[in-house]
Amino acid sequence: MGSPAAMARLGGIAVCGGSRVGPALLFEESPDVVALPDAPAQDLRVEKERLRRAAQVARDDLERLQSQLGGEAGVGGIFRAHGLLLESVLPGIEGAIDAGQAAERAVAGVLHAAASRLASSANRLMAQRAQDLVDVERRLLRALTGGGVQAGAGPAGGDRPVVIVARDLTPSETAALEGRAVAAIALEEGGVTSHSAVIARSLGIPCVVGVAGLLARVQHGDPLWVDGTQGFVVVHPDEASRREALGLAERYDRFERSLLAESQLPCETLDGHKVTLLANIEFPPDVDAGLARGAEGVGLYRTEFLVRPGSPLPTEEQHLQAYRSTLQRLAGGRLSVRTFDFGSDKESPLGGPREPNPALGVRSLRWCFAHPQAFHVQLRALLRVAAEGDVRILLPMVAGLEDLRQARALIAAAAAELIEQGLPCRPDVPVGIMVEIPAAAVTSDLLVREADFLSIGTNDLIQYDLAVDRLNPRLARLFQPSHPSILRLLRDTLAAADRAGVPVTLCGEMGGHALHTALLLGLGLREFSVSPGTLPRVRRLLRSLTVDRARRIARECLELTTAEEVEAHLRRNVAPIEAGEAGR
Amino acid sequence: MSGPAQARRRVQVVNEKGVHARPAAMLATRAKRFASQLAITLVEVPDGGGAEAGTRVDAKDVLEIMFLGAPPGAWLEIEAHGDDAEAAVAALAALVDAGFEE
Repeated sequence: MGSPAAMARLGGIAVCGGSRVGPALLFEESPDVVALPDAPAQDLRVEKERLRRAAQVARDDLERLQSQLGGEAGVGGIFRAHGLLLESVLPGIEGAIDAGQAAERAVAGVLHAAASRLASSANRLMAQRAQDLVDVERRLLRALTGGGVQAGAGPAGGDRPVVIVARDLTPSETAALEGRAVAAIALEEGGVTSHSAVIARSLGIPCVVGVAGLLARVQHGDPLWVDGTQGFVVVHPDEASRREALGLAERYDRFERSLLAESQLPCETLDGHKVTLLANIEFPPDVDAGLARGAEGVGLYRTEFLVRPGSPLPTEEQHLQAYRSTLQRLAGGRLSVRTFDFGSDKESPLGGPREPNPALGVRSLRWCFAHPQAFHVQLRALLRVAAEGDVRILLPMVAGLEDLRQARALIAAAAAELIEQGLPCRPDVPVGIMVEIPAAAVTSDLLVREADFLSIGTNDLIQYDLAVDRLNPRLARLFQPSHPSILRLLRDTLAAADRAGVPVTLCGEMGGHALHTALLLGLGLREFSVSPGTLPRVRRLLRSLTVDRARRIARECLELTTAEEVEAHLRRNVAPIEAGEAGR
Repeated sequence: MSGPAQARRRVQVVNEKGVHARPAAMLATRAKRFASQLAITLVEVPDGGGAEAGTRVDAKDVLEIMFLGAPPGAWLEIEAHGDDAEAAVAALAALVDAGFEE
């Protein structure tokens, strides 16, 4: 085996705060090839016995992993599947031993053949699944080669919560972690605004993403310290580091508890300006998480989760049920529902030609216009639920007035139809637009003439304005919310809305980042919609600022020339305010 | 004289990631609880799905089911021959319909 476990500290991007130590669980191993000892079979009976023992070790490991992570449909289900795969390949491996191969050769031969059969599938999704076979192969080989048994045994320590280590997680994989024994998440890839990050935050699992070199250094069961507040991972922490980790965990947790305790305090600046705090909803459970943290309503209700790729689109009743149950839980609070935002990173459920540049393609509102029936059904449900409470329609990816007018015409047609059918609805439901295409921000003075409200989507606004794919980890450094261009777009949009008396919300991740929260307050923003987990921190910061001070900071930032200068200025001026609070 | 019972049903794959290892394992586990012979045929694949329509596999073999490579949106035909054919088909179809609880 290699050198004794050396401690190593790897930097990453802080996504969700907290400090945790736990054994690593490689969620998806990289498919590099395990070196095979090139020994011929000596005695077939011996080889078969070795295989039998290795299979038993693998079986035990898999069962332990499964019971630890639980659930047939959850993370544990993957290991259950591996167990079944193992049983289904064993006869073939025995056959290969009968034909004169050593156990290692037989294992590798049979599993490689199966994996390459899957990997060669033209179906990209299925090709990725070859990974499961590679995983089973490695597990058997580790068990066969003896020394590796412990490493292959998975996280030790019974039901100790594990640290999930992966290249990246899909949204459903991340969501499936809810309620499992997961201490923390560390990902090699991903950015602050990737979906896995958004979900980790909503589940409150300490998380660090963009950790370069993570997968190359970590084996199953390695102890890991994840600090999701400062954004680093320590592999094989020594005694001193473990103590430090524990101390930090206590400090962070105490801080979080004290934040939570303030959730029902009014969100007002020190000089008495009221600020509205709303929650972004990715999945239905976020609603309760938001309410528990004192959200006054929902500023961004994403509707893509209503659709499962490959299955039929939701019916009007299904839409209605989802919106209605959320509205009822909000008890009078507002519910801004964003219409379907498919395309780009959220694949269209209706298929369609592959686009060379999906972020600039038929996505969001353009997708809705291209699929009028799907849009119509959603609009009908929204018009109907709007008769029951404070529901607002939010249109994504509006580039100009034509988009808004076209959508309004469709809304009017749907309303006329409902009225004719005698169904209660609210034809004058407020219709707002996402300001996420730079064109919309630049022409916000024109858009506010006809939009009932604006919602600034900074994630896409930054991506499009700076021409930086927000999901490309190699560009993470260039995704700069503090870029002078972004500041100007925000300033102009907020000013235009203010002059026209049109309400503005901001629902990007930027609003929940302390330094930017202060900047945005100073630029004039009075409605923040952030992920539920971020609410307490934003509330506390807003409660410790005066609008005058925030304005001065924002004015100074607008004079600066680079994102770096702006960040530095914000750190100097805002961090002490936050730290003063964090220091109790 | 009637032979052993037969049953078949078409179902659509509705979960986000198609029939990968975990769903395949769930299908095979459930299939093994029945005495009937059970087969799954991939009858229709959405455009660009990449998998080969027409492939037929043993529903009790997890690896074979994985090889089907059924992507989201694909249609499967589940068929059973044996005394508990009806129940077996219903049980597997329910799993697929439920999106494998993903």
